[in-house]
Amino acid sequence: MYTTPQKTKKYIKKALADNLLRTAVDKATSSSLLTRKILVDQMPYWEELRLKAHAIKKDVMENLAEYLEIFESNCNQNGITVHWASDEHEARDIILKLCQDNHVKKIVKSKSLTTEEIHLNDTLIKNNITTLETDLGEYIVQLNEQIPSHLIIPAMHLSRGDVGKLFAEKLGVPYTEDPIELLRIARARLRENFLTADMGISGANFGIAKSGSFCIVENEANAHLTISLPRIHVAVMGIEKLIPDIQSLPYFLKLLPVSATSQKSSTYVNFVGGVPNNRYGEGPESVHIILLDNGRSEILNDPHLRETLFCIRCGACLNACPVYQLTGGHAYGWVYMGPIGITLIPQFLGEVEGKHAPYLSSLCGACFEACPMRINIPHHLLNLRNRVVEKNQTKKIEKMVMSIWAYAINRPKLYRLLSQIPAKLQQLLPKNVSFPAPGYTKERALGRFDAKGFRKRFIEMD
Amino acid sequence: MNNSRDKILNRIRQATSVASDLPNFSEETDHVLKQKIEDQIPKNDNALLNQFKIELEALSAEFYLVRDQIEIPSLIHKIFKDSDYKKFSISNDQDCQSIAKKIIEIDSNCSYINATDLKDHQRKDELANISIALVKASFAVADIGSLVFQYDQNGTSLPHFLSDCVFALVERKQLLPNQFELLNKIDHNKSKNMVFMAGPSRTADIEKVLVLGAHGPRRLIVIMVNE
Repeated sequence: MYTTPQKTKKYIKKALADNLLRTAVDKATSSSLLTRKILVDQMPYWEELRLKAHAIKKDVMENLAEYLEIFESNCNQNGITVHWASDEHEARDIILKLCQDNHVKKIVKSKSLTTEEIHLNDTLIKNNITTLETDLGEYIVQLNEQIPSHLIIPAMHLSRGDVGKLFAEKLGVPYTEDPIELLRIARARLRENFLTADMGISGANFGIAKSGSFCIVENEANAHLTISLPRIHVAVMGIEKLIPDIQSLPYFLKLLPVSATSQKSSTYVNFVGGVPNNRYGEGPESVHIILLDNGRSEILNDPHLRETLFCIRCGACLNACPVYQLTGGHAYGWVYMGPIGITLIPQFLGEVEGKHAPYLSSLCGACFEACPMRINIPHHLLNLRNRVVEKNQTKKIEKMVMSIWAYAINRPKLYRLLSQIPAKLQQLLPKNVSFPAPGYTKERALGRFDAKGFRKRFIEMD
Repeated sequence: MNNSRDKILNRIRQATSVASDLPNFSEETDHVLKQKIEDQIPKNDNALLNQFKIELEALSAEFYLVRDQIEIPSLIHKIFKDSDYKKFSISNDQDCQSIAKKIIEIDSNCSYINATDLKDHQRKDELANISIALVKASFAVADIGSLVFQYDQNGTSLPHFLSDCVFALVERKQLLPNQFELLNKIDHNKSKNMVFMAGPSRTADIEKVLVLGAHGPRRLIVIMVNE
């Protein structure tokens, strides 16, 4: 299924008309928010923890080249082969070559947004390599030929009935909407494939520079099986995922599960530090890591916007966002959605393809409050909106209105005069009728302008 | 030399030549954070044990505290004697082996297999068909209710993940308050491959309904040895 942020308006209209989708998203996001709040309240050091994690990432970003070299050197010492990919094409080519050189016919994958970003599955399947997502949510969306609709809960948009129908149609099993039974079916199918796969592909939550290892956090145990059963393991990691050393990790391991799955700790934290001890003959024979740039070094150019690379993909900003709560993830048209997604879309895909993205926010600030990394998303969205204007991507009417407003706001007397016009004109309308506003008043009424005006009321305030 | 490597590193160096004006983290805040984390550590051993038990059970694992290792074989046998399963796998560890032998003494219908005694090509298939595992953890972490398995040392992590029911032994003296202390203590050069395990595998991917037994164990039974 091809999606693009350029068609976001069409996707939003479709999403808003889908009541079942809105109910599913609302239910999932509100329960996540509530549980997360309870956990955060139990952690008296939450704010300091956010500041610390932010400081660690800031140090990494400002010295990224050095940290990458340290990571590479230590990976080499541990027997992990490091590959560098400038863009998605190069990353896919590296993986395809590894598949060809090692006669790979079947791949099991654990959840990785980075591999979604490089459209890896399509390439592998086109090259006749059986490729199976193993995280339950990812498996469901793969069967449904969709992309994930949430960073953490990929099939959030589907009901249990939808999944039951999908399994009956695609897997030929009797219809059931019992989540326990649906999981049993998926587990049995995937267990068989874990045992026979040639290659495992994962992402990485954190690359640890000083140790030359990487870390994968999960609940389902599919990541561990993906790492330990196939004979080759490949991890695809964005270059921004580094942390300096293993002693920095606990700060992130405290922030991530609370923000992602509303758990105090993740069920499994896997550390991969090379080919396991050969004496016992278990685990992959070779471990590879692909360091992916794909636009990230470009983002680093802006000393403010580089903060958007601090993201640990927890999805907390999605759950907190009033826009995401209404539209779900597919409306954004790309693999990274929600508040962090709309900062990344124009930066990764360019201002033309991503010109609508920075506007998919009310700028209420809930995302900043929720972000465990303290990424100032609303601030970055304003910067990105400014870029859209500078690149001449705005509509003529919008430009005209804004230039009139800019002219007036610089002339206080004129502004005062003009600001009285709507309330005066309103007197021509019948009582209780307000001005029509295209789009907005189709579904709701716009309030009537106050005849007195803000300025007078403000002066009257004590 | 990989061409992309140099290009990427050069681009990064050029980009980061301008420092950001993002706020700095003060030493004072660092001190406050450390103090607050320290304040959360239970003040005595019993409270620490209790914290571990609470956190572990919150993630649906089961917990038993035994006086010494002698109690373990009969406890394990008692838990699984009513099931159909008579064969169990063990991780390559002296304590697991001696406990396994004692279980067989109690019930001669039982048998065990040491995971690392199997050749690699047999190991996956064989272990995937054994429903019970007995493994030993290196450490336990109280504030996250997790066990730590450093499997570079004993060569296997498959019994832990392929079996439906995992009995995990851990010594009480290896219980640490938090991950900060754990990761300061672990010699990461000797243990590159390891896993923290806090409970049975789980998912809430369908309508956020929590279901246990996703792809790994359906039950995790932690037995802590007091001695």
